[in-house]
Parts: sequence; structure tokens; C-alpha cells
Amino acid sequence: MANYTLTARSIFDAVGGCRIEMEGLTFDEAPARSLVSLAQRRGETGCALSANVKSALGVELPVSGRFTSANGVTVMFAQPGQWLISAERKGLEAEVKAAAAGAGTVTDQSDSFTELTLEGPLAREVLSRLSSLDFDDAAFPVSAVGRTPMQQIAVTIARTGEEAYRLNTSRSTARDFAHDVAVAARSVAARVAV
Amino acid sequence: MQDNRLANGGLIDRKAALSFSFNGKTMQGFEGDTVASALLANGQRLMGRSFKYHRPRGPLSAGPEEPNALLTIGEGANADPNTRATVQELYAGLTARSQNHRGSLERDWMAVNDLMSRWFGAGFYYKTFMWPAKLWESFYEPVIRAAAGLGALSGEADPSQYEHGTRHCDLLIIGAGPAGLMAALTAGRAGARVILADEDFVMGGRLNAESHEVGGQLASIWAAAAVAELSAMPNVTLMSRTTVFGVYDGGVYGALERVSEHMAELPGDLPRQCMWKLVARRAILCAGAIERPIAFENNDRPGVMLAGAARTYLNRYAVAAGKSVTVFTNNDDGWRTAADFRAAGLDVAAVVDTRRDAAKRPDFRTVTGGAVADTVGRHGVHHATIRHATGTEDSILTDLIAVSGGWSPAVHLTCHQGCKPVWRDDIAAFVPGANPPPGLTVAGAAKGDYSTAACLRGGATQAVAALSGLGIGASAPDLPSAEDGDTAVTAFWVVEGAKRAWLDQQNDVTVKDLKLSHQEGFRSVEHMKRYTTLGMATDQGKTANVPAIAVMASLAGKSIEETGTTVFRPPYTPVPIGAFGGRHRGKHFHPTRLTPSHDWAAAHGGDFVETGLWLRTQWFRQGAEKGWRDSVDREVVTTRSKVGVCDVTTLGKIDIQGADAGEFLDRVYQNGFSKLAVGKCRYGLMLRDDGIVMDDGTSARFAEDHYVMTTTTAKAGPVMRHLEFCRQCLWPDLDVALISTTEQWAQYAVAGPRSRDLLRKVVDAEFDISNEALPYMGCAEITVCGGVPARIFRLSFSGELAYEIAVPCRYGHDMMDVLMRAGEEFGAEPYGTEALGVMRIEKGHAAGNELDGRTTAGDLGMGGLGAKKNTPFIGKDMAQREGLHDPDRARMVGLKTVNPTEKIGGGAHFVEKGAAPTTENDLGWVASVAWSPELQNYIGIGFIKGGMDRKGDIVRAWDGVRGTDVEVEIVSPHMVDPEGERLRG
Repeated sequence: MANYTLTARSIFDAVGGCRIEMEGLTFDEAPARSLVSLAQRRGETGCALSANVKSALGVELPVSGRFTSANGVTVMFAQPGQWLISAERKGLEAEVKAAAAGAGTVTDQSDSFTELTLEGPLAREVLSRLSSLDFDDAAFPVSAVGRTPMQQIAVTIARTGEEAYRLNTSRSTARDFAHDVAVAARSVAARVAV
Repeated sequence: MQDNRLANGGLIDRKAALSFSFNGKTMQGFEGDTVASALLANGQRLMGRSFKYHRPRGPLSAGPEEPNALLTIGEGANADPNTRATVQELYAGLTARSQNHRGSLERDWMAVNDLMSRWFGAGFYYKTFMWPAKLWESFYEPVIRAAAGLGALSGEADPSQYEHGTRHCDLLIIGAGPAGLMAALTAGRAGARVILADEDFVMGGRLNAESHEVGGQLASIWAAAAVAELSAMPNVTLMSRTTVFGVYDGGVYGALERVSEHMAELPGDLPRQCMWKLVARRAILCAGAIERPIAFENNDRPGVMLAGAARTYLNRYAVAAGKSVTVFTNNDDGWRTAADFRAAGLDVAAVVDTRRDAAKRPDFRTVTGGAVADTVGRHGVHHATIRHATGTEDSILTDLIAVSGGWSPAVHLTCHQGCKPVWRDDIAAFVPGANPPPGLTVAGAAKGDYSTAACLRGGATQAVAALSGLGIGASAPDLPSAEDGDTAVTAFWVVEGAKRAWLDQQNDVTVKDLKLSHQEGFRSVEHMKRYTTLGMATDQGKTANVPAIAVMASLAGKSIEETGTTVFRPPYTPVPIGAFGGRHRGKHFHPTRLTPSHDWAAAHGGDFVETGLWLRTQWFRQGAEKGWRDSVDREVVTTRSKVGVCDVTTLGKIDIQGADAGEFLDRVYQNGFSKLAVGKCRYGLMLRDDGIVMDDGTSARFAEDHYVMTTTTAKAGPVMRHLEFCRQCLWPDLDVALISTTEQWAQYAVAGPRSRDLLRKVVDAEFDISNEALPYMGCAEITVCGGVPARIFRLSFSGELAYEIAVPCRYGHDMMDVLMRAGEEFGAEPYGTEALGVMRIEKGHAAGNELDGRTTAGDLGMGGLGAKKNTPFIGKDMAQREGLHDPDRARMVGLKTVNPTEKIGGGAHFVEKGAAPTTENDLGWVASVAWSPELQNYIGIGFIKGGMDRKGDIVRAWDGVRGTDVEVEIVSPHMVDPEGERLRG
């Protein structure tokens, strides 16, 4: 029997990546991580699920509009009763399933999204060209997460630092989205240059 | 030569001289000029020809309300027609051309229209070109269109870039005149997040155009200091060159920023304009007021200008719009023009005030109770006729008539959500009504408070009030001293006369036209507007509407209040379509979704087709194949005889988990799923509430509490939404969770007699995929290629022995490659959506063409599906409606052309042989067609009255669009392997 192997590939492999750098702004694809969704089951209280996850993974389930990180695990609020949990390690689906201990439903979403990073002093200005969210410090502080259409595509965006953001977009549209970000970034950078 | 440029003054940079061209002639201006001010400085007051009569025209205004001075700026693809010269900033190398003339601007031979004006009154074409009717479209309309009009587009693709952006604030201040600046200072000092937007390139509004003082210094200097203070505040965003053009729900304001239209050279990536969505918790409209003219004979000549505009050119641009000015006014404000011209050392020929009681000033020749009755001059005013209170007339030499008929508050934005402006007799103007858009208040001249002091006061007061509503404490600052004059206006609209007096200069609408409109019964303002075209086109009647309403009122013997205004809608000033499109243009008009095998397909002859947002491969061209049919026929034959592989990732996948998942599916599908065995798939039919088929697909059961549903590609989103609605709103008590996994799994159909042989090489050895272990409609979680997790479903859309195999998307590209390499020894080929379509038509499987939102399960031959199920499901009751069971309904059948090679088109209608193709004789329609390589016949799926009762009958498929009329035989839709032996093999 012939030996066939499958290599994991990014959507950007065939086009040489998506990295752009200008005026201190960096946009790039983040290293692939495992990502699962966790939905609270009917009849379960959020408290029970939160306690289960906390004791097993050492991370709190965040409140609406926030993400939490601990022990290499990041939990993003997705919608009421639903979170997206990511980590660099494999086997996350089984790990979260065990952690939820029957109080939550877990689905692997590792390949559904492409994770991108946008960093630098112009990052916020570029985001204002892509999304209608308010990215002011008061409205969108570090650890905030929001789901918003950008270029007609649903994107989950998290503020990971003063000038650092992480964007999760659907894999199939990621190339087009990256193009849109690049165009927006170039026009913002051009204004700065002027 | 800038003959009309004053030696001193103005907010221009005389050190920065700019060279530009007008109709090919080189001229000079300064930084800080508009094109209009620079042209006037160069003595060029003729700037265009009028819409209908081709009359010579010059600027009426110095701002965005300009009806006349519309130019084409730029060359070639960059040419921008209908640009208001009064707002376009001058830059070095700017090229401007005048519009709407044949021959030169000075000698426009179309000016012959003016001589025939008595036949060209309002609505002339409705009455003149009645017959012969067929000439209207072919002759009259093209000729009229060619003769009339403004600028023309280049016809080339617009090379400019347009940006979209959003900004949020506590307080949006629209307009940076005295009221806006004071509001911004008040709010900015209180620490609120403020956006101050102004359409001009220098903030200050009228403060930059007047000679009076604010806080003991020249008004423009005070304004500049205020702007400097604001720009140092981190909480204040100043947006100049930004027009707020519309008010939308929820405190959203549309604004257009002209980012680079003032630049000589465009840095590559700089957008031309940015369309801003400004989200404001509160807003204050400080848009000022627009001066309006008085109608008199020949009041449209270059040199007739609004009095305030004449002051703007004088004070802001240091340009004398004329050498000898005659002021014609019905209010005190007009007198300022006379005073400023005198102060600049220019000649004031006369001040004509319509008010009998106006105070005569000894230093001017003053005519009270009089009027300017007419003007004379070829390309501009040369002299004017003055009518005295006694009725006597005399003629004076004058080249500039500065007219003030009073000021109209710029109430437009307050009207965008239905608020109607109200009339105030004391200032003879419409002011904002009592119910402006929520969160929006008005201050300054936009509210009817005209004096500078009142504007400053109003801005501060409204800012304090707006912030207080947000819980932000602010105190009114000490206000600088400023003029606080009374408006003192007496309404006066039209100087009576026999000749034409213009109300709307842009559309060539005169007082006579309004009289005609009234006479012919078009008497409401809305009818008048449509009949005469008054208030239409680029300026939307900003200077014309109020005088016209006054004339309408007087014709009807009504008050102006009773007459009312037309409705102001966004945008306030023109917004290019390109700006609305933003970055979303060309192939980025919408996002594109790429399948996991996209790059593989592109490298292997794949030809792509848009299906929704997806790009799917429709066929793979091989070697010397010329037409698409060559490729598709080959793919079908290969799949049916060997094995084919098709990317079916685009089908929607929904992960359904929970103790009640089976119950949930029972309720959303017509047929039952809760009793489906683990490790099995089942075809499911989903109905809408109204009993019509919504979608179909298969659902697989991987565990007691875990199903995976597939949907059609087109309905993936709508079905997900529908299920979420059911889960959250209809049955919140069910323990079920839903999430889309369409993007998670790359899924390939592997179809054909050798499909199992192929998959055996890929699926890891510990998994048995034999017919016994994985029979038709079986499914399993497996691994492939040495441990990669995968799912396998034994499903067949093609009717062959077939599987669908899914791997996480990151492996999707390689999986396609592996399948093709593993299949090489069996003659495997990839196939696209066209071959997929051919095979499903051969098998009689309904798809999007059949599930068209009109068909029922019964129409599709699936009325009995799930008949044993007794529990309710969505659509069950409504599907019982009598009409949906009418035996006369068209039901699904297969069809074959009688002549096997005679082509047939989808959309053809069935009629009996010999019957006329009429609606009465319509028997149904052809939904899908294909050439069947297996049957060597054109075949199709259609819907015909009587359905399968017509089996064996010959009818016609008549296609009026393509002009074909083909005899077809009605057959069973299951045209290939009707017993399904292949797929169970």
C-alpha cells in the first residue's frame, strides 16, 4: 500500500503568506492553534460550567465582550452561553470535553478560522476603516473581544495589547479579507505619510 | 493676470502662487483659493452654460449651494464632472473645463435655444413630442438629452480609491462656524469625545468671510485661534473637508471627506474620498444659513451674485467680484456688502433696498422701496435697470449686482427623518421643526439665530445641554464680544416684469414656468417640483426652493406655511457612487470564498464559477478540449465508468449535539431522525412554515446525541439561521446546541465503480469500508493517511457507488492531491459542478432549480416521505392546504427530447402539441436540462400538470426567450439506473 501523507496548510501557503509591514504596522497570520467551541447545555447553569472549566483548565469563562487567558489557554466570549477556547496544544477538543464534564457541548473549530494579528500604533486607525465597532480605550480595552462584520465577513476581534489585536476570520474568505486589510492599511499609512 | 485681486488681505498665501488652467488657458491663483475665487481674480466670471437655454453663467454663491459654476476638473479617467468651482480648492496644475456648450464657452451655438425659449417652457416635452409616439425613444429623447445637461462622465473606469471608516463620539458638531466652534470649545474643554466636521477646508464658516470682530480681533483670527485650541485637545477630532450629508437611525451620520481632491500629486495609496459613518450619542447641527436671491429679469447673468458671496470673495479671497457693485437687498445684511466694498476702496454704484423704510445712508446712493428690474450685458452684467418706488426706471453702469433676499437656515439634516421645517414670518425663513432626529439639536444660523453673538451663545448653550443629557458636566464659557445685530428682513421675492426672471438657475426654471405649472394644475410643491424640475439636480435647489415656494404661495393665494416645502432627503450635497462602494469594487465587490481544493484546481485546468460567495470549479479542462461540453461529458463518463472526485465542501454542515438533537431534527424535517441508527445517514426534507420545501440534504448520526446535518450550498446560511431561530425562540426547552462546521471540514465526493478501491488506499487499514461494514447510507469517524482524523459518508448524488470523505480543512489541499494520485491506477479524474449537475439530473435528484420556493414535497414526488411519523414538524399543517394538493398542480417529471440531439433550454414552458403558447395553455416548465452522455440524449427535469400521469406523452417545450420549440417525451425522472443497483454495489 502506497504511503500517502497529508500536510497541514494555511490558506496563505499558496500565495506566500499575508504579512504586511508599513509605518510600524504589522499584519500577519498567527501560528495555527487548536480552537474549539464550548456551548453551555440547556438546564445547566453558567456557574457549573465555569467551575468545571476553571478547575480543569485553570481559566475562567469570560463575561460578555471579554476574553481570558491562563495556562496557555485563551477563552473568548462568542455569544451568550457560548465561548471559543484556543490553545497551542493538540487534543484540545477532548480536553475541553472532559473539562466541561457534561455541562457543555464541544465542537472542534480549529480549521474553521484563520487567526490574524494586527499590531502597531496605526492598528486602531486601520480597524476604524474595517469595522463599525468603537475601538476607543473605554469601549474596547485590552481583553475586549467583539464580533463584527469586516468587508462583509464576520470577524471575531480581540484586543491582546495596547496596540495589538487578533482577528479570527473564516478560512475560506481569509485571502480576500487579508487583501481588504492590506488596502485599508495602505490608505491609512498614506495619510500618515502625507 | 489677477486683475481683480486686491493688494492686501484675505486668507490666501500670496507666497504660494499656483498655476492652473481653465479651458486650456493658463491662469494664476494662490493657495487658499477656490477655483471660483481664482477665476474671478483672473477676471473670468463666465464659467459655464445653463442647462436648457445655454445662457452664460457665473458663480452665484461662494459655497456648496452653487447652482451655476459647475466645472469638470481633471483629465481623462480622472475627470470629475459637475464639480462646484466654489468649493473646489485650487492646486498647482489643476485643469478645469466648463460644461454644456457646443463650440467655445464664449460662442456656444446651442445658445440658439435661448432664442426659442418661448417654446421650451416647463414640461414642453410632455406636450410637444406627443406624436408620432414611436419617435420619442428613437429620436426626440436622445436629441433633448444631448442638447440639455450638465457635465459628462469620462466613460472610463474611475482610477481613484475610496475609503470607508467609522468614528464614534459623544458629541458630533456639524459645521465649524461661530456656533459650531463655540459648541466644540465648550464640549472639548469638558473632556467629552467630540467630532467637529466642516465641509470647508478652513474652519470658521462666515467668520472667515466677514470683516467684523469677535473678541476684539478680526473674526477669522478668532476662528483660527479656536481651531488651534481644539486641535490641541486629544479628545477632539477635527474633520475639515468633510460634509455630513445624511442622518440615519441610531445616531449614525453619513459624512464624506474629500481626502486628496486638493492635492496636485496623489501619493499612490491615498484615497480620493472617505465615506465616514459617524456614530454620535448627541449631535448639534451648526450648518449656518444659505442666502437666497431675489428673482428679477435677466438675474442669471454672470455678475449677479449673492451679497454674502460677494463679501466672501472680497474678505476671504481678496477678490473683487466686480469693479462697481450694486447691492440689491431686502434686509440689513445686504448693506454689509456695500460697506465692505467701500472699505476696500471699490466703487459702490448704488444700494437698492426693497424696504421703503430702510434708513438712507448719506455715503451711498440709496434707492429705498426700489428694485433692480433688469440687467444687460453679453457675457455678464454691464448695466442694470433700477426701478424706483415711484415706478420710474433708470439705468446704471454696474458689473456686479450683489443680491440678498434674506437667509434660509440650512435645516436639511433635521428633515432626514421626517421632521418638517416651520415658517417664521419675523425672519422670513423656514427653521427646524419641533421633532428633529433623536439626539440632534440645532444652534446658530441653522436655527434662525443670525447674529454672531447669538451663534456663539447658541453653540455654547446647546453643547452644555447635549452633554448634560449624557451625564457629562460642562459649563458655558465666557463668550467673546461680537456683533449682535437684528436681522431686519422684509420678505420680497420677485420683481414683476414681462421677461424671464430665474428662480432655479441650475435647471433654468423661471417665474413664468411656475405660473405655467400653476395654470396647468400642478399646484402642490411636490407636483410643481416634478413639472418644472425646480430644486432638482446637483444643488437640489438650495438657493431656489424658498423663493419658489413663496411664488407658489402667492399664485395660490396661500401662506408660505400652508404651501410647505418639498422633502429634504440625504445626501445634502452630491456623493459619488464610488464613495458608497468604497474598497468593495471590482472582484472585491463581495468577499470570495475559496474551497480547500481551489489552488489544486487552479493548477489542474479548473474553470471557476461563482455560486453565492464561493468560487467552485465547474469543470477541469484537459489537453485539447475546446468547449466546456467536451470537459463535462468526459468527467461524467469517467465518473460513471471509473471514478471521479468532486469538492463538495461548499455544502452547509451543521453540528447538532445534545440529548434532544434527534427530537430537534424530527421537528425541523418532514421525515423522522430520532430513530436513525448511529452510524447511519438519511435524506431529509425541510419545509418552511408555509409547507413549501425550504431545503434538503442528509443528516448523519455519529452518536446518540450527535448529528451532522448537510444543507445545499445556497441555503447553508438561511438554514443555519432558521435552525437557530427554532432553537432559541421556538423550543428553548430542548437540550440541543448548533454550530456551523462548513468551514471546518474539507469534503470530497468520490464517486464511481472504483471509488471504494480508491478509498481503500487512503483510509487507514484498521477501518473497514467494505459493503458490509459501511453499506449505502452508512457513516463513520475514521482516520486517513496515517492518523489524520476524517469522516466518511456513503452517500451518492451521482447515483454511482460513492462516498463523501471529510478531513479538517488544513489537510484539504493535500487530500485532493492524494485522492487523485491514489486514483491514478483506476483512471480517476476530478469533476466539477457541471458534471455533478448532469449526473443528478440523470438520476432525477431535485436541486436548487427544483427547490425554487414554490414547490411542495408532493410536487417533488416526496409527499409520502416520513408518512409514518406522527409527531409535528414545521410546515406540516400548512402543507395540508387544499391548494397545495390540487391535482392540477405541476409536478416533477423527467423529460427527453424526441430528437435526441435537439437542444433544449431551462425555463421553457410545456404546451400541448398544436396548442398556442399562451398563459392559458401553459402546462408547466422545464427546470433543469443537460446532455446525458449515458443516454446520448438531451434530458431534463420539469414540472407539468398531471405529473407522472403524463408519462409517455409527447409535449412541446416552448421557449419564447431563446426562440425554440422542442418536442419532448415525459419520462420518469429516474433516467439512469432507476433501481439504484449501482449505488448499493
